Amino acid sequence: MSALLYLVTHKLKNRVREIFHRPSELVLLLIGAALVVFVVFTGNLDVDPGAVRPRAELSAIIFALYALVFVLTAKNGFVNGASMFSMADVNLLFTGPNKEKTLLSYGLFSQMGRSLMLGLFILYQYSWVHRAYGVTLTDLVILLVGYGMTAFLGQMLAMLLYSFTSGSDSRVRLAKGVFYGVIGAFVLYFAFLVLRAPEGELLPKVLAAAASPVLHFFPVAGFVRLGTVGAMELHASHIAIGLGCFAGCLILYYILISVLDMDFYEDVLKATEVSFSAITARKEGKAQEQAPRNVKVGKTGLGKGFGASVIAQKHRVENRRGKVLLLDLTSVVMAVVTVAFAFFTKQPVGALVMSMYLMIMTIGTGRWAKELLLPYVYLIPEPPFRKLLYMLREQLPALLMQSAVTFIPLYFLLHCDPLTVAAFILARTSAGWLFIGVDLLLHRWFGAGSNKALLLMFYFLFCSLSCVPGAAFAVVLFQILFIPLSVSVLAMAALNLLLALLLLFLSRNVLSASESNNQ
Amino acid sequence: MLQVNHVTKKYGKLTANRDVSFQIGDGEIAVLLGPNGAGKSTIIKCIAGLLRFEGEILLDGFVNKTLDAKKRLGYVPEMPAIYDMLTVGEHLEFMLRAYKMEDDGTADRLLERFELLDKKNKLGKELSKGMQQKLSLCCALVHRPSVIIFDEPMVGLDPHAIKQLKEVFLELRQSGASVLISTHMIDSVEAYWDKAYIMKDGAFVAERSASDTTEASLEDLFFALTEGGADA
Repeated sequence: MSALLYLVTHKLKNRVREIFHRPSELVLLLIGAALVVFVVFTGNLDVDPGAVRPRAELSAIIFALYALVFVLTAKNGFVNGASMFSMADVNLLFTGPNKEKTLLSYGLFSQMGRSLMLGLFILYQYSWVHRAYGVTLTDLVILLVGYGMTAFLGQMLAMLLYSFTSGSDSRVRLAKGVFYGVIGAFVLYFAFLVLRAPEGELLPKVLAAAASPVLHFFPVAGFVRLGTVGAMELHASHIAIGLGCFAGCLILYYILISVLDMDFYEDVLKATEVSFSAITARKEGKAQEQAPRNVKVGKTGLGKGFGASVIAQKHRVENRRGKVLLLDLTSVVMAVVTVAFAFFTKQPVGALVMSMYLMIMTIGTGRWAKELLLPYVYLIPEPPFRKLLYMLREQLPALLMQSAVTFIPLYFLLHCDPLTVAAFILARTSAGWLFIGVDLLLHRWFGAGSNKALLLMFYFLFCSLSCVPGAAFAVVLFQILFIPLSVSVLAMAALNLLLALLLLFLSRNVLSASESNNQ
Repeated sequence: MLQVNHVTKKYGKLTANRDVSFQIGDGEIAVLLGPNGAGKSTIIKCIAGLLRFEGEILLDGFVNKTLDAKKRLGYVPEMPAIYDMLTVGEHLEFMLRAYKMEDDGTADRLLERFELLDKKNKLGKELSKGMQQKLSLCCALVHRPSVIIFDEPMVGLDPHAIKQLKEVFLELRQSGASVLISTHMIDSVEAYWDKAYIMKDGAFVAERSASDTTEASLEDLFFALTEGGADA
């Protein structure tokens, strides 16, 4: 047996063995599987074929998802590349008597599995896509495979771009010009189709533009969408074109990586080191700073703050240097997804739920969460609750701004009244505080020995549960007492805030011990 | 003065520290020795107030979780604790402001001593691991604590910094501070320890005072105990 085959099979074998040897891993796997079954079972209602939304909408959503994944993954090639290898691969395989192409194939094979795993969240969307579009479980699996194919080719392009551009500014400019030029051309063409369409509702125009055959030529996302939708509708020629283009693209990238730059080790090394240091930092409980490559230091010195308040001042300086504005890229993407959801479904309340759901995944990425991973915030001789409040201070303007950007478009797109929009902004902001409270309370309750994945699951569960009182209150007001939507949502925001305050109070001593990390 | 009284720390079923007691007087340097996994870092984190535990830890008579105790504590973690987006100088400014202290020039003196003064405007993320460790040392010392705990402080340091750090240990002793150093490098602390504690499996297996000149060297004792060859 070759060394690489031995490595692949034994890694897989040990992974499976680990699941059965570690009860928490097994429990997590079972809960994950049970959740899929639950979502499929509870969402698997009979759908009236006349009530489902047009498939063109689903096709447009799939295209948007694939395009977003492809562009965001591939553009990493201008920064750190994308590593398909672990640090052990680099140190043990690259230095050994192995052919570059064989190693490249091994890296690609490993990456393919990871890309598919990344898309598992799609399976949890079964309930609403089944009800809205009549999507079957088979369709969803096809969608997941399409997602994996797109992410995989995005990863390959990132590696190719990094290999091509590393160490040459002129090549970076050229590659960026081509990359963003191609995307820009498609965006312009899309906008042209929408604007050129006859007068009428915006949605049909957008759907017609998204269905344009020209968009099939959008790199990767275009033909993978064609194949995916083709497979859902059993359209043989579309499947063949999609798979053919995927295979062609895969071969092209492979040849370009292996022929244009035979010695890809150096390029992979840096990306692997970056990824390794990120993984190590996470394992060691260290804060991971998402910093730009070239940081402009600007004015030095904190200048303000004394005692606990210096924490907030420090965050200001760090955010300025890290170019973390009130709106980061993730918030913008979440806002776009929410607005698109509202636009397609014409359900502002659904958009509010969607935005809160998306926020659960990102609320723990703020600077306050990084602060918990370093010892200083625990060592500073100030009352824990005071430190906690200063640590969270930056969240208030950020949450308000993110919510405003998410919901103000609804005023224009769905003609929601301004009071409802304001209520939605406050409701989302209050939910943000609620989730922060849940996260802190879990930090307070669970120690360093807790399984991170289980903790994450508890976090999702408690976040969802924490929304129930406010949501139930709003439903009672709106549906039973016929109070206007805006007032009902405002009441929900108020209840959320009260609950958030209670959670913050309960976790007020979280800074008296750092059991939740390894420092 | 640092007093650790009957401290037990458990992670689930695993007992990381079992009924650990010791004390370090003013102007004393104690070293904590032990193989990997002996529980040295855990007891240090308990002293630093980072972990919950059973028992009692007092710093100059104050319970370690109180603000009075925190004001007196300096802690150098095993891994350098650095903010990527703060400059070297800002780290020390942050510490001084957090501890509500005015800068009397100590910050620059420390930076100069550890050859970081010319890097004052460099960001934390731009420093090498060794420089990050030096900065971590400066952060622990800048507020002039009276109880200082060092967790593997020499790892990653260059010879000049190690020499400076050894001088700092002696100066801290002269100034009346209580110093606890956890290390694997027995030979590097051989010259100046007052007390030595050897840990194994979460508990102390030997305790030695520098005045005990008749017994085997610290290194011999360490190997005898941790390799299971002899009793203390």
